[in-house]
Amino acid sequence: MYTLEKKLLEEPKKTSFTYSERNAHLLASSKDLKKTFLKTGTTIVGMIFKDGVVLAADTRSTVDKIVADKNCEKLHFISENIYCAGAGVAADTEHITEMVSSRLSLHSLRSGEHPRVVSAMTMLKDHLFKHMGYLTAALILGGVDATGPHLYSVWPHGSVDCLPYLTMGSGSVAAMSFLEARYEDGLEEEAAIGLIGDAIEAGILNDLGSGSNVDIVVIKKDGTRMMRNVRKTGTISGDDE
Amino acid sequence: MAEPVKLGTTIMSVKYAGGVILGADTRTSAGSYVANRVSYKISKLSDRIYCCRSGSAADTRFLADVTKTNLSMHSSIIEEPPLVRTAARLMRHYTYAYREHLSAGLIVAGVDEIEGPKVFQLPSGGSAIEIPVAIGGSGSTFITAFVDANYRPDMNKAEALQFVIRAISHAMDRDGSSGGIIRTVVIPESEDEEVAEEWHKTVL
Amino acid sequence: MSGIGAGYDLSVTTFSQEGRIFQVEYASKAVETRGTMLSMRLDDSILIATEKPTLSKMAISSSRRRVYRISSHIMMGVSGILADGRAIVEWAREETSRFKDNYDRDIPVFVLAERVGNFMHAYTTHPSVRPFGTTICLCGVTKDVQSARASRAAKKPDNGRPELFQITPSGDVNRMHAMAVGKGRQVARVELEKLLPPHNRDAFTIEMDAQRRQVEAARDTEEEGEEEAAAEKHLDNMTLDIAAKEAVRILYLARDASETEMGEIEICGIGVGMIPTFIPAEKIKNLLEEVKKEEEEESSDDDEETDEAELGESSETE
Repeated sequence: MYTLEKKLLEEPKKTSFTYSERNAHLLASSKDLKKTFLKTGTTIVGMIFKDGVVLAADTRSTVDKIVADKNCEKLHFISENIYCAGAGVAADTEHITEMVSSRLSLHSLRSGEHPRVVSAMTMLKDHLFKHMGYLTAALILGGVDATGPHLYSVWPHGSVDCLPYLTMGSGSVAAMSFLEARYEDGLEEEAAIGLIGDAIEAGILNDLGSGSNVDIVVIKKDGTRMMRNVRKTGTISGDDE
Repeated sequence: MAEPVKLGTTIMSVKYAGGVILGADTRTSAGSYVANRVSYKISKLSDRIYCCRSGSAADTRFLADVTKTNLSMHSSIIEEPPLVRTAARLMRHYTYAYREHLSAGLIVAGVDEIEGPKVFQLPSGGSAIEIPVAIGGSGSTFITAFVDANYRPDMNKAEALQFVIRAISHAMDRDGSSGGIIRTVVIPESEDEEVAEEWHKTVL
Repeated sequence: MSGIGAGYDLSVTTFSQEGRIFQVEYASKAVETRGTMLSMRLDDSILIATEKPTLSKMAISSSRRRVYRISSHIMMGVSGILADGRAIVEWAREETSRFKDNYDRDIPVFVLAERVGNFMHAYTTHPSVRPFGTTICLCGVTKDVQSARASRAAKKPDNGRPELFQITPSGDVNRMHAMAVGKGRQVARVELEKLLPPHNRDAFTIEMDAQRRQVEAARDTEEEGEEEAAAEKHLDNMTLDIAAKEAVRILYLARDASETEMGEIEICGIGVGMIPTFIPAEKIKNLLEEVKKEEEEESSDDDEETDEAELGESSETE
């Protein structure tokens, strides 16, 4: 038996650094146990259309080159009228969007007003700036509030862009090619859903990190429509979930 | 994605007879990817003081935001519009204190009733110098000689604006990290004239 | 527990039933019973003058200064308890230099005045401290938009405008034309009021007044001679030198008549383009001699005048 394990059995009650010694030993002796993150090599897209904002994402999450989840959700709920698409480390995007979601609802209760997209954007960027890029969260934030439709991209270091159409993640270049070719101001809802679906599909088909299905959320003044698995581009037929 | 968003940039500011002009390109890049081709690199600090930003987009936006807040508090205390040198000092306070952690090259420019038009350059490292014409960002290396050869302090507004547009056009032409269109802000010394925020196409 | 305070005067944290805070009022008494200090704001300068009772024949005459330089553009006069005042002087110096470091410009005098007021007020709200036994006279030159506009209109370089503030132990801050505190304040205030400019003026009325004075001066010299023009002497048309003599005169008039000798007089001036500067003791001594002589002549003139008036009156009744 390995000596450290023996030591562990002999004096199990005491606080000691035995575990750290063991971990260091295992790490040194095995290449497979190196620290890895669950990362969403991703394609996410956001777009302003005639009646509001539409966000979309693929559903693949990976650990290195292994697909960890074939149908994960990358469109995060912030409030009824605001959603956020996330790329980067899954833990970071999920955690930060949940945190902002809860803080925004408290802010909304205190101020007695419906939440605004700028408030969510400011909370996200302040938090990311504070952590100096150590939180790997690249986000596309979209929503409709009292002042109209808004769309922002928030980068891991805390910078923000405000544009009518945006892509992020490893598949962003493929997706952007579609938007640059076909985006125009004042698209109808159906056309917008079609274009954004095509853009995500470009990511799924051309980027190794993106895959599986297409999720779309449409946010309008009169309500939000979440559509899971609108297209099952990268799924073998009959293979649900 | 881990690549921080940078303002690989051309920014400049000039003093002319009767005010200051700030100018910048609009390209924001993350590594080799253009993250935004119509970005704003000129931020407002007070009614007649603006700043040009180059370096990390996140860092410089933060600096502009805190300076704007502090400047407006200071303005309430002294009960009048702030001096340009005060804006530069407030910003320098941060660029110096956090010089190890920030990546920011800034130009603070504007007018005030007491000292008139002023341009301050704040290179990374936390210094601040007052000069009549300032250029910054990766594109500035290509136009140093152009600026030296063509700048005159007695230019009128139209001449100065044309000078800024030509200089930035040259830089955008040679620098891969600069591009898009040219944004300018003209701040006249006279209270009667409005501050003008405009954009232009390159002229080459 | 008997007497005026009736138990309410032991702490600054307790109001009396009439809504007074006795400790703060007593602090003002500490000012009222000590040497006279006065200050005058002129058109482009300010001066502070104080009379300091001689403590001992062995003390060096320039010791126990009451006027302090805060920066090149601000000075502070300390009446009442000198040691209390020095603590404020030190704090004001730090605040002034901190402002310069932070904002790259001189602190406007009113901003410092308000901060000194806040500082002094804090000592009237805590149980473990006592209020400052001093009234502060804060003067300085402020360079701001107002002075910039005025000097642009006059086509002169902008060197700022003078401001004078009085800050009491309670923390009250008042913007003044002139002020007088200490033992001789009653007499001094009466004299200072005579010197007040005709009305509060802005740049426009100053210009109008100057034109009017020119016209009048021309007419006066033609008609009645110089007496009329000289009578119009007030804060806005005096030079620092004339004001210094006027200050000495007022301190002389406000002196404690029960003392055999007047205390030492200290005068410090500050102005547009002039750092706080003390007037040399020798010059003050000469001014005092002049003033004494003039006042003695004046009083003998007055006596004669009253005699004449009495005579006149009696002759009327006859």
